[in-house]
Amino acid sequence: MKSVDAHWEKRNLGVTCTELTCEVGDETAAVLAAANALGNEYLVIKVPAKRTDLLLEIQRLGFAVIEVVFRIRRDLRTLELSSAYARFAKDLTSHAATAGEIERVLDEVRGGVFQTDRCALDPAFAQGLAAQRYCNWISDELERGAEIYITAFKGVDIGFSILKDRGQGQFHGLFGALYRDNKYLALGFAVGWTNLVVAKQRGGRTIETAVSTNNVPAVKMNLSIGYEIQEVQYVLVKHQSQR
Amino acid sequence: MDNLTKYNTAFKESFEVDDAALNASLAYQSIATWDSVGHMKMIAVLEDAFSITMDTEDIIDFSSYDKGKSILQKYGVAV
Repeated sequence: MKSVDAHWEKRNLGVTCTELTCEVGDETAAVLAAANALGNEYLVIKVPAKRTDLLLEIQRLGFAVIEVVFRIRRDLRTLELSSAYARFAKDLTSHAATAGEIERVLDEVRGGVFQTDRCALDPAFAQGLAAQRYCNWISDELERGAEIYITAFKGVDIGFSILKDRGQGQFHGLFGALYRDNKYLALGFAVGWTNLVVAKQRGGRTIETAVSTNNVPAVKMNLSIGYEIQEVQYVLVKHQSQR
Repeated sequence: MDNLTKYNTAFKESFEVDDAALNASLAYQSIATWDSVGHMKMIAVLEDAFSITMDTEDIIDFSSYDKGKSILQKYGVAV
């Protein structure tokens, strides 16, 4: 069990926040005691699959399940697309985003390109705050070495993805999306594919990312390009007055 | 099996809808199952059913039940 003071959420969402991440082997009593002692305004507890005892007990403390997160991984040794997707590959290109392109990405995020994360779907926060949280997150990750890649189809920019090199051949695909209001919505796989191709070009052996059950199309898309589920977590939240 | 039946069967199999859903309002993302993965599945079923290979632009433009009928005409398939 690990408790983190998520101080960045004060800037992002305007609330004090603690995130408690449970492990499969945690003692139930210890987790409940820790959950009860949390004093910030926005509380997040992550419970691994199989620990339904924790899932049920924590809900008795006023927490509610807001999403289930799949942590997924893909081996990069072989990159092959199914025949349905393969015909698009020759017309897909990607490049590191320029400063101007990063601004477009941030505009897309502010405009609501992400609508299914737990903050966007939480009435306590709503879309505007969730979008600003993503913008801050992107800025922080760029400072920590992540890079934004732009995906183009036949020379037209259609979306973006954010990739981070964790070293020793391990890459992390943070998130990505197609741009809004374009006609390429069927190419949802393309931004995910860009991360695979770029990570492999940069010497990656595996890439990991996370997807939420609140975005089933993204879950399906990532599985369709070869990701495999590694870990499943219930995410529970609670809003309360600061203690 | 006539072409309309093949066309409708592709939609029903790909998106798990019944006949009542097969109308002008059926479009990309109008139902949960017609997402990007469902779209490619439907295209593969249609290509198999009509023994055709569609161009990428046509796959992208295939945005609705009605639009698909006009696109298939380019491949000699009258629905």
